[in-house]
Amino acid sequence: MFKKILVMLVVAMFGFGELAAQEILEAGKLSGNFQMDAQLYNKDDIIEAPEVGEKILSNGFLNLNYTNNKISAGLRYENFANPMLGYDPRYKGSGIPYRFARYSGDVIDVTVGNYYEQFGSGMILRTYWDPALGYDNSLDGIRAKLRPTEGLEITTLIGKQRMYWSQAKGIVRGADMNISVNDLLGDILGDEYRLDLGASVVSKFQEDTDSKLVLPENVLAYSGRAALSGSDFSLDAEYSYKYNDPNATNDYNYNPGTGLLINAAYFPEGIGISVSFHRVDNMDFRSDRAKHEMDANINFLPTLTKQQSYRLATAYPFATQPNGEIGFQAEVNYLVPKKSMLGGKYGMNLTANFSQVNSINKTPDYIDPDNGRVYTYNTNFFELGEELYYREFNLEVQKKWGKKFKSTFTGIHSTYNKDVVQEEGHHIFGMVNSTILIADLTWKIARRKALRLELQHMWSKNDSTVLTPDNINGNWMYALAEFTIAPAWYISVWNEYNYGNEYEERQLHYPNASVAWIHHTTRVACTYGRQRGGIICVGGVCRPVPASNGFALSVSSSF
Amino acid sequence: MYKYKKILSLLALPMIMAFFASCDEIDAPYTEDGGTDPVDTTKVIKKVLLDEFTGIKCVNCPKGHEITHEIMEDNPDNVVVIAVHCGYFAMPQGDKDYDFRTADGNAWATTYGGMSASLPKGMINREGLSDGTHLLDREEWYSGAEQALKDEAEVKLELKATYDAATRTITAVVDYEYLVDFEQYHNLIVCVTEDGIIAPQTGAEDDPDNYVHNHAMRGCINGTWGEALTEKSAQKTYTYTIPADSDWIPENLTVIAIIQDVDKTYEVLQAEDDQFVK
Repeated sequence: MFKKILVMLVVAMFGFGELAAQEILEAGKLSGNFQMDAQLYNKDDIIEAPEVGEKILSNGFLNLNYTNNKISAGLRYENFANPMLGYDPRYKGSGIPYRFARYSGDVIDVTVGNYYEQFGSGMILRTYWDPALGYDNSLDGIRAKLRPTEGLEITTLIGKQRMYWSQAKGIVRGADMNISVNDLLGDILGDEYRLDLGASVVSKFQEDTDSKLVLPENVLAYSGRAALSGSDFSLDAEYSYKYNDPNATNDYNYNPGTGLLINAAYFPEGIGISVSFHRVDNMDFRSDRAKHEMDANINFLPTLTKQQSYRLATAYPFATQPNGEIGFQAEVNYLVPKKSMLGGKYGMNLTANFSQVNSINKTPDYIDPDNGRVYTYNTNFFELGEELYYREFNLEVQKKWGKKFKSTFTGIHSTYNKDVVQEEGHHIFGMVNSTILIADLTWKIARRKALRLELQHMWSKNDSTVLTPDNINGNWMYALAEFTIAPAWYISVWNEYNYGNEYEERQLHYPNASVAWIHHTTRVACTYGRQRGGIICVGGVCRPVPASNGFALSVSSSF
Repeated sequence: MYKYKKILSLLALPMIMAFFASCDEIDAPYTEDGGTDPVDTTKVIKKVLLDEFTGIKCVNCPKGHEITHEIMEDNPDNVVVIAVHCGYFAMPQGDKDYDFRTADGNAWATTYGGMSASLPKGMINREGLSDGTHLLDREEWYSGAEQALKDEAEVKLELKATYDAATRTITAVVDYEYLVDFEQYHNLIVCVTEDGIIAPQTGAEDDPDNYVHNHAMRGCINGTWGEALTEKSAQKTYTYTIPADSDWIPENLTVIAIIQDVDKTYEVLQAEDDQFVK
């Protein structure tokens, strides 16, 4: 049925009236995936898990894609009945927020309906969907890609962004140009090197209905980029500029925005070295200037710090501060050779990573003589601000000890400016200093059976005395045991214990147990236990993710 | 020929990109020129009800309070405000924290989405938005209130609140009159707010331990959703005795009357407030 509807949609949109729908049906391919997560919530006063009136909350979606030669079409049905805790309540409801039809020819590639797109690194445009985060800023409109000759591609688009079950107020227009110098000019660089150039422009329109400020209705951002790579190195850089864009995030400041991202990597045999630098100033860019958090973002500013996956290492996550930050990251990866003293029979992988992010300095420029408000400021581009936002040092050692045993040991030391990331710069907590040690051990018991142990400990201390009780401060321990019977069963138990909380009554355990069954592309998982609450910060604005206690069910499949 | 195609393509691409490069550059001064419309003093004004969902642990909420204050200052006597403390950010966590949460406020917050939303959020006349929700970000309150003040009044509402100190009794006398015909009348909700409560507030610029909380929702005196009206005009009287163990300060209380569609759109048709001490 779905397949028929999709085919009819494509036929109607592209006017292929002479083609019989049946022919298209038979020649095409239907694919998709499905996921449903649901949780039964129990009130748990100790961990401050709220009472949920509905008892059960669930998020679910189904993606369907139909492809036939150069034509494709698809849709996504979503259902939030009602949204699970931690997801924006504005998702409540169900419907089809995403549908598209596409023709992908050699010279022209046209999409009508919803689409996802990224220009360069995403500093001036990136739309994407992440159901785990509850994030979708897809554009609904028209996108056309032109490839007039080999090595040249231009993407043009226009549309409005999804905001929950409606659309953001502004209209987004943009164009992106990619030039592959090697493909365009042949062997000018030889086989050893590759050079790609790119440039983008994005402009958004939003009506000015403000009675107090003169607001720009059209805001332009542009960027230029270059990427050079060889057999053992790569170097890429992107610079972006945004014209005056007074908005809620920058407190209606009229300064232009700028962004610079530079990545360099050197990877001869056995070792890899990479360094990154970025500077962001006033680069929050949305198609509705009044919006906060994850609403109507046109661009994406990735964090420069290492993305952590171990549980305790996610307690204090850093988020890029779009109003201004400057930072760098360096990583060295070294493979200790096999049969050396340290490497042993299988070798050993060492990874060291250091990152630091600071503020940028700003001095007021135009001050309104009537109300003393600062409307523009000056800033020195390469000057490191005095305030430290985040610093982290990681060391990871991966080693296989034999056919049946392998290990990963990780040490992390971080300094986290909780006031900047979570409290809008108000001096409440100061810095949080934490040191984490992690041992991840996997023992292959039999041909299809394996036991994995994860042991983690975090020493954590706030700069200032914790005046307000919470369920995060102090030292933590974490232990996980996962028993696998390949390929179908994953049985896990784990516990987090905040034994070092400043407040004795909050030294709590968060025990959990989970069973997952996998059959081909289908996965069913059941979890029971407590989840600690916390704050998720995106773009400098934070939203709560309440603690929860209960039974969770997750079903996913693809076809 | 192939070479020319490449050159032409390279020249054409920047032109295509320039097509999308619309921009308005604004120079100082950045504020609009003043200018006010003449006020018709005989006309029944449809006042604006601003519900502010807020919390003591919400770092951005003081900014919301500032915007509320600005709206009230710029539209004197035409804006009625209720600060509903709700959800995660309203949970007291220290001994000094004040629990502003109320059963009626929680019920409203649950209905309108404020309970699980990031804060602050606001509602102008509790109107539903195009996305099916009711909540506005703080930067949308001012323009929302300005726009709503242009609406024609459909109900005339008068409120007289008195307080008897001897019996700790609040009396609210409400006179209403529908100015247009409706098939079905709406609900009259009468509630109480309090100003001047000194308590901690995260994110306050000055003295966060002794922040002055205004418009704090204290409760409804005729039920969370009020009383269903059955006549085109009438006078209604409600009394409420402040419990002996309550810390409410009568001089700081404001009584608020709201006429609202509580069945379909949730839209507020009229609101009025009155204090005992003028």
